[in-house]
Amino acid sequence: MKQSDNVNHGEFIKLFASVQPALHRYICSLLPHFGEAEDILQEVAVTSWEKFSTYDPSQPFQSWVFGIARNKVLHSKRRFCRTQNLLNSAFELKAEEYFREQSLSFQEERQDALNKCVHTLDEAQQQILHLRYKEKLPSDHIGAKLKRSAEQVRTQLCRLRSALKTCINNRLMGS
Amino acid sequence: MKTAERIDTLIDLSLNGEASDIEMNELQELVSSSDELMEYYFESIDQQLTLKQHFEDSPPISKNVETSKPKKFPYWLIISLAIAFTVFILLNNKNSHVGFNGKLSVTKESHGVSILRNNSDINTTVGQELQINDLVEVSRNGELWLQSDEGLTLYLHPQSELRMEKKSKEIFQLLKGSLCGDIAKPSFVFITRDVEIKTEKAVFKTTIKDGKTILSVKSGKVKMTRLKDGEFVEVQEGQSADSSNLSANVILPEDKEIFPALENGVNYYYYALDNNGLPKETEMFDIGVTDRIDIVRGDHEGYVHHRPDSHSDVFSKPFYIFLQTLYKNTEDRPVYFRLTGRKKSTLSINGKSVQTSEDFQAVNLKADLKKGLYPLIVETPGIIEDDHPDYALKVEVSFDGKTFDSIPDQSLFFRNPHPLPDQFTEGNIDRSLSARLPLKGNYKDTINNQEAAPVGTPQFIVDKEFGLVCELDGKKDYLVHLPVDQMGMARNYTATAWVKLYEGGHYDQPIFANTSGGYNATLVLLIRRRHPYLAHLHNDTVAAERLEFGKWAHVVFRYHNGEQAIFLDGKLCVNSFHHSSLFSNSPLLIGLWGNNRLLKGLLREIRIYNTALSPSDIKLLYEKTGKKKSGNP
Repeated sequence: MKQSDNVNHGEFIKLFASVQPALHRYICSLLPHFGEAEDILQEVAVTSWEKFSTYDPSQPFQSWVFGIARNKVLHSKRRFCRTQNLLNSAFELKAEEYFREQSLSFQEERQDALNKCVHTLDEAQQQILHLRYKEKLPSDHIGAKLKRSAEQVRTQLCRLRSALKTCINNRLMGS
Repeated sequence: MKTAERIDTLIDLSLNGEASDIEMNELQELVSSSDELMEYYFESIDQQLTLKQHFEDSPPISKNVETSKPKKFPYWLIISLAIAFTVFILLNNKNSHVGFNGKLSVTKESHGVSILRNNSDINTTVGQELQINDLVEVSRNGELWLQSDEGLTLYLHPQSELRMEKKSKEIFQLLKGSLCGDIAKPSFVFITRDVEIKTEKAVFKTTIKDGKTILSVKSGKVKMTRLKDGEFVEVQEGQSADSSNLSANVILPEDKEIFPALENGVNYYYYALDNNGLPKETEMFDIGVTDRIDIVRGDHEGYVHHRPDSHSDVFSKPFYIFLQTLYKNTEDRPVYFRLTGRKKSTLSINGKSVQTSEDFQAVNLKADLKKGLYPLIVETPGIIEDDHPDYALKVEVSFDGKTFDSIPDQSLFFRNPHPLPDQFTEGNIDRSLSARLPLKGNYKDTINNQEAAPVGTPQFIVDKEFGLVCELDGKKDYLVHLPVDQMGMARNYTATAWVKLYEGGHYDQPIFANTSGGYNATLVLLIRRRHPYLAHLHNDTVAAERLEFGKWAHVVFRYHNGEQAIFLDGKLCVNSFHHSSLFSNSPLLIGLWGNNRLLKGLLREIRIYNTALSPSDIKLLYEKTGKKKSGNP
């Protein structure tokens, strides 16, 4: 690898890392499926790295890489084959507006707040979140483990997310 | 706030792949109903990802949940950026093995799949568990997702087969085709085609860069590119990558290639149009793979259009076509592309684009390409019948910028790994014949030694090109012959005839049919509004080409393992997939379908084969049976 490539590469990693959380959320909003959104994110990373030499540094990196993501989602075969199309173009713009301005420090603050809020939950509540987000179990499997119906599991997950949202907002406002 | 809770639940289901189509539509409607709910949607997506990252970074709950600490921004994700899928491959000779523990079940809806257990087909519904010795076959346009209870997810590509086996642990053997795997977080991508691999474990993906297919490797030893410790480490083809923590050893034989993550051939996507004439991305109605990019056939407003769900529909709305393929450049040199579109069309390659105006304007694009593969994308609005030209758009290439020609097949990266074998060895076009009616003065079937029964008063007349041929009047004349299943038409078949249409007949000019037997039980091989048309009822394929009144044409209808294909004068016009075979034992009708659709014109040299003939067979058949008095077809 040439020296100049190393420099470019370091610059790319730095820029990409700063927008990656927001980019991931943006893709997920257009393609609400964890696995498929991650696939797209990876494709965006590869493409943006490959096209990095064409990036104009006078323009915001976020806009450039969000544009690549938008096209990736648009032309994603997975999007059409395996999921429904959720958003129209007007919606895409709003999603981009919403997520593009999210800073890395904002995400880190939210992660810290979430950590503290999760610790306020009891063990059973943490367990159901763990089964969903760590073990990635479907709601009926979680229900089978906890001897509840899938519907009850979904309802409880919804309530927990709501409680966590309130807790996180309170902590962020407090800080 | 009930609506917000509902949105939250629907998002959760969607993100985890549990949402049904109805629930996805409900989510879409709710989110679109107000700006407030739209914002709530974004917030919820945000929160779900934050939760996911938190718990993915936390230790197992059984150890000590409360001591788990969130990490800072997950830079580990950067590490995985260029890695797409991951797979464990255990090899035995030329076949790939994948080992796993636990049960392997069908997940997601699958189509074009058969699972053979003790020589019987079993259901491929979601949740179906595979057992030892099960043989899984995925058809040309099928797909199958499997998942083990320990989290291994596998996607079996079209035209693949695997068999479950038991060795030291349960494994499956990939007999042919390819697969993707996903065994870790985040999801990784793995694709190989025709790749011989000696490895126990490998984590990598293929990408295309500067025309080269690159293998990006997280771990293992390969001869291309790898990714290590969050940095892209590029290793040129031929060099070995460092193997620090795994025992993979991927070797590419000289005559093999790693294929990138694109189906062979030209991927096509058809979209409905919005009010502004732009593709309406939320309404894509067909998707598939074809072997050509220069001619778009069989897509006409008002004509029956095959859909992926095996049903057909009369498509009456304007539509938009998006074609995507890989152009294979065989040496370092500039390539000139010429795009000719019936309507405003666009061609893009290697980051450059060119657009036509309407009405067949040709535009050129020069691309400086090195040897390798380049994504080539073409977009065009669909054409309607009244516009009907020979093509909707045409893409040609030139190496000197002066002489343009169609893109050769090999440059479209199309490779059929299992082409139909040629049947006609040594030019013997009678092999696999199950019926032949020359119709030269009688109705005799020379294969079955039986005559077809004429109804009405068909005549034999002397045609100036072919001599004696059979004339049907379009009012009451037709022939009745043996049951279609006796001639092998209930499975793969090829039915052919020479036909000359007269003007003034019904818009449907039947060649082969049977008494209507309902869906998939009615043979409909005819000329509809002069377009060759193949159906088993609700399973339709129509060619864009038209027959001319008063001119002989050689028409071939072929059915092969779900594929319907129509050939005209020795050339493939159209093919489509996911069709059912014919289920019928009723007699073959020649020149009649239904009560009042009768052929008005001439027929000769009817041949039915109980097998699917290859394109070269069909070309030979056209040439040999089309010899006119002048000696030329």
